[in-house]
Amino acid sequence: MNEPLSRLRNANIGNLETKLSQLIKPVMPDADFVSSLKSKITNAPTIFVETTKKNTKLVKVGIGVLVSAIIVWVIKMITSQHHEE
Amino acid sequence: MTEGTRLNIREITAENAVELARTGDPDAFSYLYSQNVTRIYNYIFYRVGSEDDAEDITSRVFYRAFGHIKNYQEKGIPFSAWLYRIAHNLIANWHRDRQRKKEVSLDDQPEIPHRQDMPETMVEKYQEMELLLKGIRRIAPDRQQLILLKYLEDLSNAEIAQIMGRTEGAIKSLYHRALIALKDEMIKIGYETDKKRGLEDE
Repeated sequence: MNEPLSRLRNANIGNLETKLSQLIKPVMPDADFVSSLKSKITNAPTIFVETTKKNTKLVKVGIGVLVSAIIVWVIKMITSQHHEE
Repeated sequence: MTEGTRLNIREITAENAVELARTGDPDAFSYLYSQNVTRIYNYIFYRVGSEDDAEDITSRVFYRAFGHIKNYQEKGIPFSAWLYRIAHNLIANWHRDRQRKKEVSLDDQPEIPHRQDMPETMVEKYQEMELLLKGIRRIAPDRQQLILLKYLEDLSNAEIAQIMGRTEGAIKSLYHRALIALKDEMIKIGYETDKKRGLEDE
């Protein structure tokens, strides 16, 4: 019979707590992993999402169309007044 | 001395690191990283049982923390507790993905760190540890979390309660249930047909 298994078999809850405190020990992560992750996180490039330019163009085109429509309407109003006279 | 120069020579301490990191200070986050990376890695390693997966999930924890630090609100809960919660959620996702992929069971391939480097006398101890870890990984995730926080980090019930978002009393009873569950799993692992002589209370 496997020796470690037989030892565990004979443990009660109290022994289990002792086993846990004896066997669960911190492990050290790989030093290269720790340092490379640190530099990757803190030196991550900033990503800019350009969404405003498209919106600005749309607004400009909209304003242009609106102003043109007003001008056309005003001209029509003036010409129709001349015809009535 | 200008205001800018004064800001550049500010000292990052345990008290102000979180606040500075929330303002986007990479040095402050770097400080928090250094303070917590080993403990988070340990917690993940013991939950997943593989160095590669532990490194992968640890990376995700810190990337997520860095990306969401502005949303972090202290509320009396330590920063490490927030990291443990992120880790716990990512481990749950990892287990879910793994079950979907139906890979080889973790229980079949427990990994003990640097076992090959251990002297002969230590091998037996590590066999025992493998069995214990196998048992731990078979119990419910919240019970695993509790046992690892208690024994890896040596945290009190009150501290664990903060991390797990429960009351101290709830942690106490969960701990007792976790031990019983672990004992049962240990019996199942080793001696399915011989329970009477297993880890029964004396």
